[in-house]
Amino acid sequence: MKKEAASFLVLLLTGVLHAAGIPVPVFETTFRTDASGRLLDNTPDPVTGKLTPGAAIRKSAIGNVLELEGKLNNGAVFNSAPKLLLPDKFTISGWVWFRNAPDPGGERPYRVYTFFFRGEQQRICMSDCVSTQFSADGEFFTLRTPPKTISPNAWTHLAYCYSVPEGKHYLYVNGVKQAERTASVIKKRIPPFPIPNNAPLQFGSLGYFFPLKGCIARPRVYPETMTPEQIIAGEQDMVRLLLADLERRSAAIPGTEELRTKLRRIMEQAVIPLNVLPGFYAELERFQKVQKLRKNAGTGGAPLIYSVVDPMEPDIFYRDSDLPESGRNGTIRIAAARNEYEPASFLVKALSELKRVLPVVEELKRRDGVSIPPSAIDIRLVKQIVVAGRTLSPNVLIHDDKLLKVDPLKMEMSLRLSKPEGVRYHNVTAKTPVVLPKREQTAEKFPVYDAKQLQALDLQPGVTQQFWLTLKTTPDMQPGLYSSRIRLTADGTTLCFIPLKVRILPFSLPDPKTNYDPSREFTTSVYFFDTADSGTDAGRDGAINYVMPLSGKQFQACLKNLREHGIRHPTIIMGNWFPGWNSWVKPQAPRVYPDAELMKQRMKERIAMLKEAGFPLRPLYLHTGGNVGFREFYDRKQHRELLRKFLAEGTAFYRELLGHDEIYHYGLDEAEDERLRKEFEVWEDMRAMNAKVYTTLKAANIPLVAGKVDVAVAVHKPEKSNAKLMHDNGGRLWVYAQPFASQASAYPHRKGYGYGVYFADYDGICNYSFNHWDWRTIPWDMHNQNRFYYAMPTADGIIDTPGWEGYREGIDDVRYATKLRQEILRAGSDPRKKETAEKASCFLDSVRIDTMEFDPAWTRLQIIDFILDLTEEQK
Amino acid sequence: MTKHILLVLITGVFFLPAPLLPASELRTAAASFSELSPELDGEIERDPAWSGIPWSRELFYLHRRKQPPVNATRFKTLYTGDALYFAVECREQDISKLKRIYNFGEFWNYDNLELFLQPKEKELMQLVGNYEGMKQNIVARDVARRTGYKTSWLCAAKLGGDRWYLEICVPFYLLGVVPDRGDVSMPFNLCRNSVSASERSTWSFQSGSFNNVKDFGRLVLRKAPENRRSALRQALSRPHWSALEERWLAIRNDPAWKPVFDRNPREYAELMRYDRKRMREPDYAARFYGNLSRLETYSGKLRTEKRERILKRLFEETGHEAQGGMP
Repeated sequence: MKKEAASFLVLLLTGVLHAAGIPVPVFETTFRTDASGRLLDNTPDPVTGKLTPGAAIRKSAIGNVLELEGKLNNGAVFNSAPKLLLPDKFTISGWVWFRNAPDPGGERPYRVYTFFFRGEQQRICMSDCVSTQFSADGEFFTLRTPPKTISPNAWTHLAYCYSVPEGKHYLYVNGVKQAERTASVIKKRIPPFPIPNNAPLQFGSLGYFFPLKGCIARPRVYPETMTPEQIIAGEQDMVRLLLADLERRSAAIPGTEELRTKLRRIMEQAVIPLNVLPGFYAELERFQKVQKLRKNAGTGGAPLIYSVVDPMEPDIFYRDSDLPESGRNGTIRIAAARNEYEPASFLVKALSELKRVLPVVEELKRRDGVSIPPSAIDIRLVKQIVVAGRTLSPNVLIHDDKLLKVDPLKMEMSLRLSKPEGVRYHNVTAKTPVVLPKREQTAEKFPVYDAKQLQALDLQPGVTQQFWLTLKTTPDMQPGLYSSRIRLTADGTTLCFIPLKVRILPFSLPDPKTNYDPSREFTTSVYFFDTADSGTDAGRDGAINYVMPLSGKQFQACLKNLREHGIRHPTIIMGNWFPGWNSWVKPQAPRVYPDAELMKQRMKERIAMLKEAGFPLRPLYLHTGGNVGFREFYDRKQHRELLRKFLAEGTAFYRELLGHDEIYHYGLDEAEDERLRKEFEVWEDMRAMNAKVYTTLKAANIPLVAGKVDVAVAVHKPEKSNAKLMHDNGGRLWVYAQPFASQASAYPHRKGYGYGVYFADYDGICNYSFNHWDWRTIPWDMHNQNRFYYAMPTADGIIDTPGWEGYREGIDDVRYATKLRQEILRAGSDPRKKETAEKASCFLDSVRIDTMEFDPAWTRLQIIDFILDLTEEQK
Repeated sequence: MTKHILLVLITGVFFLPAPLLPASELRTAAASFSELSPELDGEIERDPAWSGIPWSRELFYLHRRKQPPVNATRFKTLYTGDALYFAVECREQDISKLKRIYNFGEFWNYDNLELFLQPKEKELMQLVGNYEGMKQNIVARDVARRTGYKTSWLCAAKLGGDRWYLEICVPFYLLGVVPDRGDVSMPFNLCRNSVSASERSTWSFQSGSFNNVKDFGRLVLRKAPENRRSALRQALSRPHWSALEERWLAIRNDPAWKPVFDRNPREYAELMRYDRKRMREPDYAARFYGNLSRLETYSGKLRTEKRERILKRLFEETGHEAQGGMP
């Protein structure tokens, strides 16, 4: 009878899979056992196996599963057989679950979990990602998924495919390809070759290492490399059981009707993608957390809770972040001078479904009735967007939640395009990158518009939503303490108040100056990819990527944004080559501009817009093709007169436009060794011809270039000794890549480009970049490769990011320090303030940026205190 | 019959599945208690404290490759009543190729040795030293907070004809764990950047970046002798003399600390008179620590008071402000 039952199973398995066009596995176990306790294989010509200590079989919603305690060598071991030799192609798959991810700092044998192991040479392991290693003859074929592709408390399907005929190996998680390679990694970098393996199959442990503490269900081995469609089709029974189980568990939690409806709807589909599972598990966990919060006495039955946070702190908040206790029911406090932008922030977590939530700022009032309109405070939401690796990151500050539709269940995102005929949503999280020709990356094809003011949004229970406030002060604001509130409303009903206090300081901030010489400008720059069209034709398309020309409106919006973020000298990168400068250098820099007049016209218009936007344009920093095109190929004998001619022509052009000839030309980007030395001659001649040179380099090269360039833009942690070396040789020193531009966190940019540079006596900052996105896809596309940018584009302007706000805050820190230095100097002649001025001076000289205790916010607070001491006495 | 049985047995031995051993995946180094403290000067061979300690035997791996490097490295380790010590020998094929150091702040550009320890979760420490005895470190924020920013450690180096030595002293106060109740085991790795030979190498095979804890080996501190356990426990709660000295030297000439010194003249005067040679005497160091602690406590108090004063000045906080919440 038992034989008949086994035969039935085999036939059923074969029949079902064949019918679906799926290869039949040569091994599959659902952990059935025979009378003697041997584990059974469901396939024809079955092998048998056994459990090792620390492993047990238990029933679950998806049938029998292997439950593992996390003991060394725990698992299930199956004998090998000729059918499992499979040298040329195979797929190993199965389901895994664990409550907690392995601790990377724990004992070495327990830092990783094993799903599959075979001999010493084949393994599939998990931590916060999935990694595989298949090896033979000293060659390693390894794959690793991005982090967070596997989560605790969620059944996850893994599939590894190895194919000699295709010359590839792949790793799928929940039916989605997460890693792929075509060559080995250590020695010869050769494509997959046959790896015959006759070792037993082991699940749950790598011998005496990496035991899984969790469960494994229905592992399979196929004699083919599966396609994703086949992988998904072959697991439909399991995914349906899992979804049904999720529905059953959700039913016990109030408020999950919508979730259950979604589950039921998904289950009606003919083919259910496996990658819906993580989202549903995350949703269930969210509801479970909300249920716990509701039971917590501290919430008092409120529909939401809030916490005030510092937007410039190192912590980043995600959908599932807990609200910090320190800011619960707190007061927002902002202190700002009369010409700056100052941020603040709070988090909200709804405890039930809330529709049309809108924080509303009330009028700010001083005790004597003087008021500031609520419009002085702009509120945006910190939107979690889907980024590379299909994870969420709080990368953008927007007014309209509907600009980006994010489905956290499917990890998909679509971008709203507001066309004349109506709104449609464009998928920016396709399975593969949507590569577009440059000419298609226009604002006309991608009309992305954010609202001008915060729009109401729906909040789901248990999801943390961060709001970002920006106070914009103006010189006409009267100093003093203003009180107000932020009303958190839903559908017009006030749910909650957040107290708000704003101190308008009795002074304005100057432009930033250096610490070592308060009369010297502290240059605030950033790499600006400024592809502009002629800009005056209102009908011309703008761009959604820098590779196409910005429209005039877009260009002006960029300039306004740059200026509002404290930039005074953006590095002009695109299209600024004066016509004809590079025509001689083929093939090294084959940029030829046939239409010189058009180039001149565009540059004139660009300069006019920069002037109109309030940029001083003195000096002018141009990214001019590496030593005006001569790069490292300059030959004095041959090229000196050419150089003189180019510079004279260009300088005359700019002198006419700007009234001066202080033009800085870019050297070779990050040149080293011989390439760097080869530039010395052209630099010498350029400077002798009254042109100026700036270039990027490593710290170690500062002694080489000191005295040879006017500005070195160095990538390293700022050191006073380097600044002194440049100054002693008549040059200046800026910094970049400390860190490179990024979006989600403000703190490192505030510190790295504010006091971190200022107190090291540096002369400026010029980080990479404002808007250099990968040109192959639109910047909003999840697959957009380039990571080093601060801003996101729209059809009519720019969307800010927390990182960009941090850059501004750093510049403002320098402005505050500059203000204090100025007041100290001013106080020198006033005997009443002498002592305070000395204390303030000592304080500034004693700031140590390289200690772990250094806190830019605390430093600024003390600077404000000193400024008030020195200025209030002037009344 | 016996022959047949023997034949079967012999055949069986050859065809038995190989034992599932880790094949040197996990390396372990052990440090035992030493009554003698090494003289931290880079001199290993003549230092009696090191004489009984064997050098490590395993070859280093090239970074991400299971091959030995050209420039070999080996090390010794021991611990005393207040610190964990390492002595490392770094061989050089051509010592003249050691890169001249311009800015050791960018230590990854120079010949160096990097010691990684993770005694507790979230407390990864990366201690870097070079052939000139320069040091850099990256320690987790949790470590800085736990130690009150007294994260000092020591190193000394000595350059030879075909090798250089580095001695490292990691105070237990910094480490945060001691083997007073049993052996203490922690993730550990030694990594070397050899610019001279254009190679990077690691003691425990490293498939990721140097700070990838998953591929660390283990360092085991053997249980201390009974009569030393109490001293070890004390070492956990008292900063090492080097940390005290470093901290004092950092604040001594810092003008920001003047108000603190003015209000604590006795402590300040005693600290100003400190005798470096006596810092290794436990009682002397304890007094030094006491004085420094009082200054730091007062400084902390001043900072809190100052912060409250400024916030009150700006926002007229009285401490009885209304909190947000339901209408």
